[in-house]
Amino acid sequence: MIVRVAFVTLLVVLIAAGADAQPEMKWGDIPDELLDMTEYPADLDAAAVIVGDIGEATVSSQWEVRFERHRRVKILSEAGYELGTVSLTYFAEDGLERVSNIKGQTFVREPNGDVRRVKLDKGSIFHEDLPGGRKRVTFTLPALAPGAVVEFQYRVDAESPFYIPRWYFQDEEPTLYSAFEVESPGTLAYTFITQGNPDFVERSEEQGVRTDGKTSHRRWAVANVPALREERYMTTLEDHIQKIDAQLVQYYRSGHGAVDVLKTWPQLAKDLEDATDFGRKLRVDSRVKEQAAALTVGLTSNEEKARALYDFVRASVVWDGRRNAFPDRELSDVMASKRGTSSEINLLLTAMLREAGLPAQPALLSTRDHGRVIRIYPLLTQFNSTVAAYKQGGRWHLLDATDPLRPMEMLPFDALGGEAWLVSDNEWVTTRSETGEHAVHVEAALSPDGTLSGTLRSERHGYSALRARQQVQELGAEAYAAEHLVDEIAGVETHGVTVSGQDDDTQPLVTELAFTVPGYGQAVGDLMLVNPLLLMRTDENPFKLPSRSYPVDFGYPFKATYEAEITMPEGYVVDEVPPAALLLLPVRAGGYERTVKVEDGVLHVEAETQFNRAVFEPNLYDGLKSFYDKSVAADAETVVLTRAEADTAAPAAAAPSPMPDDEGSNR
Amino acid sequence: MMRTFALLRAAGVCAVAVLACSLASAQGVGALGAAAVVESDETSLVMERSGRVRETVRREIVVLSAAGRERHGVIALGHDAFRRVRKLEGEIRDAQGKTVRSLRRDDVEDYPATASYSLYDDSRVRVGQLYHDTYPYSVVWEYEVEHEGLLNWPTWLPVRGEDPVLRASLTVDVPEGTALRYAGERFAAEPAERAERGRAIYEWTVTDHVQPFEPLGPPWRDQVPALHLTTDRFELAGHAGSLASWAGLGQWYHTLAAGRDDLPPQAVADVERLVAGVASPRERARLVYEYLQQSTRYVSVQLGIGGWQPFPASYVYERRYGDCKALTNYLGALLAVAGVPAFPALVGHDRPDLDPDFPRNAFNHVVLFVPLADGDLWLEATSQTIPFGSLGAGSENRWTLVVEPGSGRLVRTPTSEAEDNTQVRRAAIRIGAGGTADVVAETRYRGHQLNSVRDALAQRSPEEQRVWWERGLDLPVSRLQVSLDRDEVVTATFEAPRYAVKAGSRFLFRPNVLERWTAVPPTTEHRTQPVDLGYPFADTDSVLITLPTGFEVEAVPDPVTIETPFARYASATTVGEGTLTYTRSVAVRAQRLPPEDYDAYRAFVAAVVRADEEQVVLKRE
Repeated sequence: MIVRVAFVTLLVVLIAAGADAQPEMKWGDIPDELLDMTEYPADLDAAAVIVGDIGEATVSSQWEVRFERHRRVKILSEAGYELGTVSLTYFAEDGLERVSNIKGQTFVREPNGDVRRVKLDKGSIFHEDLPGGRKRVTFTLPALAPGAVVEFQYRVDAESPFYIPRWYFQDEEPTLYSAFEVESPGTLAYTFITQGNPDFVERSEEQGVRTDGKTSHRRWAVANVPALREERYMTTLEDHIQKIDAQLVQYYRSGHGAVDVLKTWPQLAKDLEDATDFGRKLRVDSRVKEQAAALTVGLTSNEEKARALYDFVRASVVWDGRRNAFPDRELSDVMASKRGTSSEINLLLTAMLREAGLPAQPALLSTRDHGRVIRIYPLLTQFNSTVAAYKQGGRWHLLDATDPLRPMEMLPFDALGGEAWLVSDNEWVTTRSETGEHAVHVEAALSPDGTLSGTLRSERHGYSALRARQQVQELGAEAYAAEHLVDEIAGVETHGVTVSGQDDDTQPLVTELAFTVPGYGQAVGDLMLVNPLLLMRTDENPFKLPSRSYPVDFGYPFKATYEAEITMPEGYVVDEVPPAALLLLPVRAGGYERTVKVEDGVLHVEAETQFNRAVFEPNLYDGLKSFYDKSVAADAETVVLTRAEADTAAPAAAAPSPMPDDEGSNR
Repeated sequence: MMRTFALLRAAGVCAVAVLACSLASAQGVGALGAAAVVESDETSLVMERSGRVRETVRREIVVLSAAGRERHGVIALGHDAFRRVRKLEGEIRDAQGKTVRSLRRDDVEDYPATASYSLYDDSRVRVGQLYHDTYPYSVVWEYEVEHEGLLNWPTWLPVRGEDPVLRASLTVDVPEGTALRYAGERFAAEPAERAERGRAIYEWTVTDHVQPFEPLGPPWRDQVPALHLTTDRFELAGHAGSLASWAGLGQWYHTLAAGRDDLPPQAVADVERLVAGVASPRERARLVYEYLQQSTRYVSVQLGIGGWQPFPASYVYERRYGDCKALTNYLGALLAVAGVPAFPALVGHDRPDLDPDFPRNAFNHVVLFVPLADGDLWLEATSQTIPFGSLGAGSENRWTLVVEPGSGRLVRTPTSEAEDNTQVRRAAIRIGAGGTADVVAETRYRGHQLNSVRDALAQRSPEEQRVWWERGLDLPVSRLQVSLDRDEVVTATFEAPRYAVKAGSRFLFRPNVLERWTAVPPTTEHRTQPVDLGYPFADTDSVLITLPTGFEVEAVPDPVTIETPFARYASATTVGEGTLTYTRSVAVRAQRLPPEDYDAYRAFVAAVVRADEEQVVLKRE
């Protein structure tokens, strides 16, 4: 039992301590104004408001962590009920963490003006065992209704001083007040890492004494934090949300003095080489050695050997869908059972590369949904995946063998956009690997009744080919073509679909087919309307938010090209073709170019979209959004044919010109 | 669901010809494209004593290529308070029949398997994994599951996936004199029967079967053969019952739910105040139902017998939540206070209709049946948004078991017609000189269309409402505002900045922007399954379009009418003074078509898609 005696303030940093900076939040004491609140004027989309969220972590002199949390939420509409259901997952193995003292209650204003209080009963708190020594506790607060105020608290005890929980100052609904306190003994030194630039209304650090020794007491508080909501093409909210992480840096033990916990990258690398769940796993037994030898016998170049080993591991070992940085099982077991997590598979590959005499080492990275790695903090918890690296041509190449369809050196999409740490060399390499490319060529003829028939050839490279190969494997060539290649063409019938390159991923994936589209040319009066783009049209702007505070991240740069030669029907002449379109992305990041020409009754169409970069910072959001708006407009443009007797000459294509910004003047 | 049409059709042709169960023959099938072949799948169900059945399964699959190894390399056995996994073993044999790996302890894991709709339940799943990398190879799975409390016997599914099945068998072994009943779905085989040392043994066999998945068909589970089994007597967690008749099951459920309708005085007072002075029972029911919808939510917690026994009404009143049983029981208790007698009705929601001559537990849901002098009333207690008196589409047009004190009887739920599930829209589009359109659309929904709109819009954030509306459009919009009025009307206003597209001196636009059909089902050959069209519905749109000044109409699409026995479509654009009026109506009356009508249905959809795409051409005056 720790008794807090007195705090002798040595250092206090108070930032903008407003009069209402720290509202009292006493259990069960709900102000009338809060019960009667019906909307949150600063964010009319809010379905709930986090009124107060208070977390206190106390580390004892025995280095045990006690964390207590009290959260109060105002429910504004049914959409906010989600915040009334809580699920906590924790490590229960060997009593490492325990959750206790769960309490919850709901306050509702009854029609007669009374306030009804309903408590969460113990029987409605559910505990489950999860694999890997984890447990989960779940509860939902009773009597939720629009207008209700709910609060809950719980306590987590952990046996290790590393288990100070991460604290979020922000949520997907607005937060009125959030505070986090940490009290720790003088024998432990922590550093605190904040993200998202929280605008602290309070930030203090005090040194004090408890009966059991010196302590340090820190407190951070924020007020009126807006909601952070998700939009397409982002890595994870985790990269942008306001939060704080506690990291143990040093501990003091009598007789040992100060011991560094937060190490340097080289120290971490050395520890990992010796770690039983990492470096030692790479010291494999004879079965793995023999397998590596057998696979590389007779091969001379390192590249051939690497390819043989990569091909073996990706085809032999099934990835169980789990990404992790550190393996649980021995690599020989992984090889024998032919299944493994990402780290198990890639460490097996690393070990085999080494056994084959190649310069190879493991590399750690963090996937997109896990958040980016901050290099100034040498922390292994920042990583959640391990890949293999081998040196060739003076450069380290990253290999991830978790998908049999993924070509060598192409990383999974969720690994893109960050850096990987080469453990042995303490070097960093970027995880941008490939691009995505898709080129389509169409030769077709339009009949007087509007039916378009012809052939189509699609050639895919990089990520575009990877996704298509997965679809071909799952659906077969015909269904792939129908559902993922020509699916934009309403009513299309395909014949004679052939796919090549499915089994050789050093080649592009090429699909060829013949097609018929009844009614592609729309007859209206004496006119026929023909969209020159059969597919690859942008028909929706993916960006809806008026502005965006975090980057757009597509994962990889990409390029799409479309060429078509369409013979116009007998009895019609071309009256109008869309003018050339040229749309540029901001900062020369690429653009869109399209030309439509007519020669001897044949329509020649060329269109190309190119994104040279994968990431667009928030200051480029407007430009990107407007690019998509204009692409949608350009792709809706139509060729107009008139019946031959109308006797109109075909115009020449207009010269390309940058698209003006003013509405309506149509290039 | 995976689709491998071409592949399995080819395999099917061969599988019928393959009779010998050998690796060589399996490879023969594989040569035609199948990734795996189920050589044998033997199930035995032994009734050890009343209320307990031991299910023993041995399954041998030949995996022919990498595409087949993951789906046969994993086995997942569900277990809960009434099902215990007693054994799980497996092994891999190479092409020479040599065992190369047996299932080990660390190849098996056990997880919670709480249903997605549940806060918590006691379902868990045991998962085993076995893989090999040299093809072909065989994987053999053997497991035993003990079923306690035989309200549900396991349903036998001889065909469990798209891979060809060479031989599947079921043996049922019960004490002689046990009233075992069975009924096949898409499966007519009578068992071979024999008696042996006081036991009655039944045996079914299916050979050489392949079931390709077909688009727009019934759910996979309703495309494959199934055998239902049941005995007349059962006992679940100490609660004995009879399945000899529907009345028996009704009586059992009634006993389980009896005495759980107590309400605290405050709840009684709430209801009395609510219905004071209202004479009509229907009106009283409406008031009570709306009270329920406004004050409760659906939260599912299923533990053991709690999968059948409702929480007491007072529990729901206090917490203002419950699952289907608890909310239905609570609503029944509230209605009793209001003087309106009501009965729980067990439903097989989204399941094929039950066979009235085969009493068994065919249910997964419960609603409330309210017999009234002016017509029966059905109430769905789990939805906060469904209109009074409506059932979900998955609960209508089917038999339910209405539970009465000490009994139960089958009553059919209502069927809706296209006219019951309508969407009627009136819209005004004003096109500006630059091609921008200002759009106001007012849409009134009824029946299941209203259910799905309320499901999508009610209780959602404004942002989610805007996203839902925009999803139905395929042009960029700005300044979108969407509002749902409890009266079934959605009003949307927005600006479409590039609605009319310039082509030289012309303007082109689609008069239909609000209700376009854009997807045509794929072409298929040798259709075997019926076509599932969902509930019947009728949509009408009427749009007044004001043209930009300085333009005149050059051409408008011809009127289109498409008439089929199962559906009708009509659209027309008429020219007025500086305006156009676009009208469109589509009604799909059938819910299910025979397989041979697939092509006709596809042709109908393709014609609608073409008509919906047509454009108006304006030119400068």
